[in-house]
This record gives sequence, structure tokens and C-alpha cells, in this order.
Amino acid sequence: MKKPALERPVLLDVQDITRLYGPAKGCETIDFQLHAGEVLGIVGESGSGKSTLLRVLAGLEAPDAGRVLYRRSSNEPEAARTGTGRNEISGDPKENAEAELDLYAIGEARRRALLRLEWGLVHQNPRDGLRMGVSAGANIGERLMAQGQRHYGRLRATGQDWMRQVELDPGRIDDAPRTFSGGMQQRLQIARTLVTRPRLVFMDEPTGGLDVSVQARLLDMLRTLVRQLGLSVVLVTHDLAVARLLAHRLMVMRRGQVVETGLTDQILDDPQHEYTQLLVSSVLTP
Amino acid sequence: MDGYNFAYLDEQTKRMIRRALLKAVAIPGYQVPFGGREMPMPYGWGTGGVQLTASILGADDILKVIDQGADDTTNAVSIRHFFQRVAGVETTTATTTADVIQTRHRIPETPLRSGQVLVFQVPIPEPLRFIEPSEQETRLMHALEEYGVMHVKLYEDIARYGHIATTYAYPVKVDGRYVMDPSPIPKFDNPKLDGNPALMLFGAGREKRLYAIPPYTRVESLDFEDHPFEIQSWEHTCALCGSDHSYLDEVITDDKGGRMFVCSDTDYCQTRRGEVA
Repeated sequence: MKKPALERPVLLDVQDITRLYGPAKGCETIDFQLHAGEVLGIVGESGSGKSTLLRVLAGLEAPDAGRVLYRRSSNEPEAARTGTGRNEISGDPKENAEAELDLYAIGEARRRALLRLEWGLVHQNPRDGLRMGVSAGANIGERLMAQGQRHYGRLRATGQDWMRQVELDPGRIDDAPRTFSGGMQQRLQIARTLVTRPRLVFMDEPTGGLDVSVQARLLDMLRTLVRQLGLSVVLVTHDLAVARLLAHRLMVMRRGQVVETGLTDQILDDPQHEYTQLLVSSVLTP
Repeated sequence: MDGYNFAYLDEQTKRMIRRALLKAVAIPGYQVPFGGREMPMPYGWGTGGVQLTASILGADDILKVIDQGADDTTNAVSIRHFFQRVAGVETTTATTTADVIQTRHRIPETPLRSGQVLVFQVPIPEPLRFIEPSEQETRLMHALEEYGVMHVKLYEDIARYGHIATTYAYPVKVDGRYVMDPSPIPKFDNPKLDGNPALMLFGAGREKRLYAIPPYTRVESLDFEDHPFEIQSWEHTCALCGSDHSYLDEVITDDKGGRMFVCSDTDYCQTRRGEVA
């Protein structure tokens, strides 16, 4: 009998990342591994360095020290997964076969291609992630066009399909994002990011600034999408309720350092570190 | 003319611009920065084109200047007089006899020949500018060939108007590499860029950029598979020469709705009328 693999392969290997703007400002010697299909939550108060860490992980800011390694499983080549040759990070097949990429050792061209094709980033403020001047359909299609899709009809069909998936009215495909509400803009940003079926998605407070009922529906949708697409997610949030709903594993940060890691339920129900205890007990429960 | 160097610019400036031009020809479609000079005319009147023309003009070259295709419009007349005064070169309105043609908005209808140089006046050289305001970012996008956003604009056109509504400054890809703004020529003229035997130079005076398409270079207009590139067409023919294949201007002739369509290229129109008569 064939047994399922218990140990999922490591997708992201973060080794001693340090990025400091000043003493205890930023993040210091962060070390963790993200497995394929896993949702990792990073929680902590404002100024604890969680957003800095996310920027370093997402390739937006080079660390002072440490490495970010991205491992693709060798039995799942990129071209076979998406079915097109244009998705390759580099034209050299040898480089693509490489199983391990050091995010800040590869050139800028390859890093940007990686961000565009295999990774995704959902900003806290949808205005940072969307092109506000062009229609919803163009927003969703941009990453596809960057990959070389040149068929208007198909781009549009994909756009409508994704609007349905994120529970937006497909009839509004030609409307500008600024005519959408905050929650709808956030859905649109998620659709725009997920349309290329990235393997790894970074989310920075995806439900920040939304009211509670809209948050709940967005979280529900995110949970469904994460499971359906088998995404690996690094989720930064200050909201423990969001972390409990989405994350499998939690990392608690304070003053740029990780004070506690573990399974989500374990951390929230039985916090060990005094700061985590404070954080968990400070949540209001109606 | 006394007090001025030949063709107004000093020799060092011309040398600097020629050097930039050599680079532009070597990398077709790539925008080369150059030290633009103040010219005795305002930005937007063709200072970029004038500096390029001044740098490449020889004493025995014959110059033609057109604006919107016409030799007799204000801008064309003043630039032609400028070079008559400061360079003393011979000028013409005939496309076939000209060695250097400075143009705004049009490529002449008469096919150009090898050895001729076409100089364009460019207002905004950066095709990515409308979607990316940062110069640092657009240069990086050119360097890494990240041209997906160009199609976002075309997509938006089709979504809004049902067809690609960009009719001028229609983006092209030069020699399969750089995406380039062919200056505000109508897209009607885009096919003339492809494989043209003449050297085409583009100068933007305010932005201080120049770029080039060497002779016989492949130039493709961007499009979608299901919305291919198309040029404008008219139901009318030219009211003066009867041409059914040239770019037509609509001219209002009175205040009772009277109008006529005429060739925008005046030299072409006159030549044809001469042949017919």
C-alpha cells in the first residue's frame, strides 16, 4: 500500500535573516522553514518587524545578513505544471532545473521574473496592489499578459472566471477599481494575484481596514482558495482571529525577534512566552 | 551667416549628439540620453528634431521639413527658414530630392529610398510612461523586457471601445527587442516603419532622449491575436488628387457643414495632380 508522504517538502528556507534600520528596529536573526501547502502566520504588535520580514521574504528588500532559499521540488518542473514554455524564469533549461534558488544571489531579472510568475504578494491596501486607472479585467489580466498571453477573448474569459471565484459580479469586469468598495478591491487584488496560480503567496494584513462582516466573508473565501489551489502562504497580521482561521502554524514576533513558534491552536490555547500570553489574553471576546 | 557656427549648434555639441546617434543606431529602439541644448524656439516646436537635423546636416544636403504632412504650415516654414539662415543649405518640398527630411506627425507617402534620413520630433519618448511614472522603473522594465503592461493599455482600449482605439503614437517593437513610441505619427504610418530603406532618427528635446530605427529593421505593431493591428481607412478619396490610398485630412470649408477630404501629404498630392494634368 502506498502511504502518503508525511513530511511535505520545504518550499522556503529562511536562514538567519537580519534587516535592521536601527537597534531593535526591523527584524533580527529570523530562521524558519515553510513547507509546501502550509499557511504560516506571523503575528505581533505594530513595530515588531513583521512587515520588514515580509518585505525581505518577498524579494522587495535585501537583508543585511542571511539567506532566503526557494526550493522547487524537482519532480514537478515548472513548464509541465503550467503547460507553457513561456513561464520559465530564464531561457536556460539548466537554470530552470535548478532545485534551489537563493533569492538575493540570483540576478534582479530572475528575481523579478520569479515574483511575477511563481510568487504573489497581496498588499494591505488594495490601492498599492491594483492599477487604479484601468478596469478590473485589465488588472486581472496583467500578470497573464506579462507571461505572454495575447488573446483578448481568453484573457477576458479568465478575468470573468476569477471574478466569480472571488465572489465579484463578472458583469463589472469593465468597471474601474475605484468604483469598487474596499472589500471588493481587496477581492480584486486577490484575483489579480492568484490568476497565474502562484505557488507561494505573501499576504500583508489582507483584512486590515475592512469591517467585521466583510472580513469574515473574505477570510472564508481565502480559506477556500488556499485549500483548492494548494497554496503556500506567509500571512502577516496583528489580528489573532485572522491567524486562527487561516494559519496552520504561527510565529510570534516582538522587537524584531521571534519569541515563540508552534501550531496555531497550541500557541493560542497554551501560550508559553509571557509576551504571547499577554497578546492572547488581550483579545476581547464578546 | 556671420556670428553662428554652421547649422547653429557648436561643433562639440554636434559631436556629442552624433555619438549618441551612433549608439542609438547600434541598439535599435533604445532611448539614448543626450545633453539637449536650448534652441531659439520653445519646447514642443521640435527642438529635439532640430538638434538632430543640425548635427547630421552637411553643406550640400537638401533639406525638407514637414508638419502634419504639409510643407506650408507654420512650424515647417519656420524650421525650414531657420536652417536656410544658419546653415545656408538648399531646401525643397519634394520628397524624392531631399536628403534629410525633418517631420512631425507623418511619414511621407512617397516611398523613401536608401540614403535618405528621416528626423522625427518627439514629445514623449517613453511608451511606458502612461502606466509607470517612475523613470528608474521604466528603464528597468526596458532592460528586463517587462512589456506586459503595454498590452494592458490595448486591452483597456478594447474593453472600453470594442477595438484598439489608439490611433497615433501606436507602440511598436523594434527588431524583436525594444518597445518604442514612434512619436505621434498616425498608426496609418506604422507599416512604413517596417523594413524602411531610410534611416529614421527620433529626437525628444524636452526629455533629452534620442533613438533610431536603422534601415531595413523589423518593426512590429503590438496587438492581440483576436484583435490584430489595423490601419485607418476612409470611405472618401482625396478631393484634389483622387488618391484612395493616402492619409486624408478632413477640412471644413464653410459654416454650413461643407467639408472635403484631402491628402495630408501636400507634396504627394501636388505631384499626383501634376501627373494627372
